[in-house]
Amino acid sequence: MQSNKPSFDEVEDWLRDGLVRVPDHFEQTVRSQIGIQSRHPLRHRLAGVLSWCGVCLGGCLGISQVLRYVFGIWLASAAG
Amino acid sequence: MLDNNNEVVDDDTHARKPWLAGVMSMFLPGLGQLYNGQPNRAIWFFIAFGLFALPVTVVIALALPGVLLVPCLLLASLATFAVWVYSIIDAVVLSRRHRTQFVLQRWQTNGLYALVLVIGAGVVLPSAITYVRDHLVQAFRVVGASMEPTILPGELFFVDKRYNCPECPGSVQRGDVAVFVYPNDRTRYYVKRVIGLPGDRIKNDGTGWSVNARPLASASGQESIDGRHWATSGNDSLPQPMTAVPDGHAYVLGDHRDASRDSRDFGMVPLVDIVGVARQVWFSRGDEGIRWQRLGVALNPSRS
Repeated sequence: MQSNKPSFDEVEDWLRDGLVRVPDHFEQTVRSQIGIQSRHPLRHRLAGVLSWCGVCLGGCLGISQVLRYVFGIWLASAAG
Repeated sequence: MLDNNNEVVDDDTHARKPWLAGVMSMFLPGLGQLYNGQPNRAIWFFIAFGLFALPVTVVIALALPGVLLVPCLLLASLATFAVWVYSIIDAVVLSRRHRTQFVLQRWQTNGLYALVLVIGAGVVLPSAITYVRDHLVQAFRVVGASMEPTILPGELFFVDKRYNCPECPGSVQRGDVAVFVYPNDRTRYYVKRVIGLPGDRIKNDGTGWSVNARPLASASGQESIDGRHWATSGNDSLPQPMTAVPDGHAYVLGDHRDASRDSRDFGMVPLVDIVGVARQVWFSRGDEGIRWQRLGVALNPSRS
């Protein structure tokens, strides 16, 4: 049985304050191992494909608009 | 899941990918900074790119003498391009600091990135460049010889759109080289010289044009009116009866009188259809190649 009395053992204090202290991102790291990928592989894969489609479409839109913006002022209309 | 600082700590270490940050900034300056969790930096990059570099420089360029228009517009394009490149480099460099681990903020979602991209690249940037082209400056290319020798065939020139509107600094004046909507086909633009304004009486008696009984031809062989001078070409001896310019209209002529279709053919041009005044040639190329001496020629020097 454990005693509720405060411990004065230096080794125990050292363990509690030092070695047993959890790193800041411990929970985050552990959760990454048991994340949504392992629970819903199909959904995760679909989300990945859709994300890439979005990135490609957004990229085409973005790059065309950026170039049109930068160089659009030099595009000439015809005048008779 | 949220920790005590309201930061998301779930699923992954969320390490930033430098290549992704760079690509996002390539699609829209500032987007990569948003991905890196730096909203203030993202906003400043977007403002510098979309609202400052090009529109502000164009406004400054239009306030300078006509011969400085093209250099300033070149500077505007280069500055905008430089901001774009710098935003890409900045996003890549900063994301390298978070290559192993990154604490994701709760607003950093793919949906937000997509929304910012759609609004920025799909709405703000097109609106900004459309505003510049519709209200400040627009480039035109001459497809015929009707304005020789002032503007040669194939030349590209900039037009000041702050012209002929109540709040605009420039009103239509005799002698202006102006661009207007062709009355018989409103999808096309024409560029001609304004000869007569409302109330003027225009006539060609076979020896030359006159406005309000004052001949345009001067002793130097050029034409002139109201202190403006220009050269013409072609045979100008075909008589035209006296024509009074009605209210709200202008009488226009091409400088090449044999090769021009102008008010002699399609009548007066409504003033509301005049969209801008020609400012400067920025490129000139003919059968003989690039006409280097024509680059930068001011087309309405006395207006500048």
